[in-house]
Amino acid sequence: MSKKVIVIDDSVTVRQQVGMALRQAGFEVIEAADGDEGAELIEKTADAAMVICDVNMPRMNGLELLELIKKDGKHATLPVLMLTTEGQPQLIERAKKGGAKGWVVKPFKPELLVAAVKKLTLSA
Amino acid sequence: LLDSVGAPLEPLPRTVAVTDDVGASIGFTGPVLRGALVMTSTRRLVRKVLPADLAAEGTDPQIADWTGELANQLLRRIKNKLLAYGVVLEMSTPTVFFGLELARKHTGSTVRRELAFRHGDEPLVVTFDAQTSKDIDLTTPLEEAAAAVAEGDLTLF
Repeated sequence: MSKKVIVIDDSVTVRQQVGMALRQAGFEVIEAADGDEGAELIEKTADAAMVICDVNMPRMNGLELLELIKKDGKHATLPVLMLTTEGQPQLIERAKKGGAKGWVVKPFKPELLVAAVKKLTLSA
Repeated sequence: LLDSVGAPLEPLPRTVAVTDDVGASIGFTGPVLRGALVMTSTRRLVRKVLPADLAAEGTDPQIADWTGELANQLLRRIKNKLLAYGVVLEMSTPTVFFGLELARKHTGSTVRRELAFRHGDEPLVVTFDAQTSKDIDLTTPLEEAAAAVAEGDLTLF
């Protein structure tokens, strides 16, 4: 059975780009458009293998969502990869401290993203 | 930025009238700099630089989304360059608009740069409009300023 990846980004085009790369690599992809929607989707998707999350989004940003996921015991072990145009070291440090597994700066290279997702979902 | 998505740009002489019909604006704020970046272009150019797998459709919602994302990536580049001078910005999410004869009104900002480009016959205009504080210094990069992570980089923790 395909591993399920939740992609959270307010740009539908970016979600489609990520989705296309991951589906071609055999993953199942489900999408959310902001942190609030992402939190709901994570809650509903017990068998998610990992989350790919943008940082700068309306309603709830990606770092707030990361902190919410890690605070919630049920999903605390779910790997989260940040995918963003942000390259500010302080934000990367905040994500690292918050429990993210990695940081990708857009525009992303699909082959690198797929390799990282494969690595992070090995144990899922 | 546009070069990386397959549409290298050349400067557009100021005398050429621009017929843009789509644009995106993103506000930013920080201790020493606040304002907005506005990027306008044409649906045709944005459709051309849509990711290859999506370009066949090129509907208005896709064009709006991608215009916002390009403006976002452009301002993020500026933000990351400013980091070297210790200037930190917080950005809003993009607002995208469609229209004809889009006009930019000067708001009395202390820094205003309007740069016009073209790819073939298609224009792209970027306006950077900001208020600065007296404390801003963009002449010498700070030695201790942390460099931003480069585009395309992937770091696993």
